[in-house]
Amino acid sequence: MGPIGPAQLSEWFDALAPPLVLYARQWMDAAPAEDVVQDVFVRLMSQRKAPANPKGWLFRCVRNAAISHLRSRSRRRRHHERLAAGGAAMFRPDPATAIDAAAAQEALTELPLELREVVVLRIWGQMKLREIAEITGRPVSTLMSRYQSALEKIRQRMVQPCKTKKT
Amino acid sequence: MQDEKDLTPAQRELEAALASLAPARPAIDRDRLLYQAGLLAGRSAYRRWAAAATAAAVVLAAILAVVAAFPRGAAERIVYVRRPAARPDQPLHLEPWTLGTATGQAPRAEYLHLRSEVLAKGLGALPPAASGSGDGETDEEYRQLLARPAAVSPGQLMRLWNFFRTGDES
Repeated sequence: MGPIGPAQLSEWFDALAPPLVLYARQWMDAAPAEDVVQDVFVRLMSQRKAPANPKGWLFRCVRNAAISHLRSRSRRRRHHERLAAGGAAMFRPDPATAIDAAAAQEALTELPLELREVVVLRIWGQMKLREIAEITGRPVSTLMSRYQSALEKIRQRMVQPCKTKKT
Repeated sequence: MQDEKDLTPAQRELEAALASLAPARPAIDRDRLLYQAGLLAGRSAYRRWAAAATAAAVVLAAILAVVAAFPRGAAERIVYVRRPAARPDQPLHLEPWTLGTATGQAPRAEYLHLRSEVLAKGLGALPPAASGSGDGETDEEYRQLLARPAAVSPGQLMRLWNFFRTGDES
């Protein structure tokens, strides 16, 4: 592939920036996640030739950058605290959707990172498990069992009635 | 594909419901991002050209330095010259023979000097110490043995001639 032009970069940005930020938010807050995604796009533009699989390249770079960012223990602790507290909305609120965005975000944030990552890549990254395996370095069978487990946990969490305070 | 087969209907339904949620739009300014990306790409292209130009300048300087260090006149060349073959009627010129021994030891200067003195002036040039050797030989015997051919009388020469021709000692 040849060098990347602005039109191509713009197209990729429109299609992939939202899921990439959502993916990066599994490790960090919204603002640093956006910084990471922006840096990765700038890095993509500085490549002499476009990678063979730009989508996989972008997700892999975002993952590496996010993990590097989260190496600091204090940052990790702060992120988990903010994640538990809710934080900025991960999804666009849309009354037409079949599922409540806030409830889905809550259910998603309660998942362990390794399960959450597979769900985000599979559903919003629109990747097959084979592609996810290339990014995460895990076998497909492991990813499949994680994905099933994550879906089951989310489903249980979504059907669970809201907790009410006892008076 | 394993992706699709192993999910239960409830899981598939949930998957579809989750997929209907669109991720939040990031607050990244797309135009600014494109500008930054273009700027970085331009800088990297400039750096590549600058590096290439610097490398070319260094190579050129090295070549000039080498050329300056070795002037043309000093360059070694192999020149083939046609030599006339030596003619057999011309006398062969040989270098004068130098004295030496088979073992490679140079003869002593005193000995050579004494030898040349003896050849030039006769046995009288011999020093007195060299006249006796302890083998019973006397100075007279040496003198007779080393006497010049000119000292031999014609009668003695005739006798020697007859001896070599006929074997007659008389």
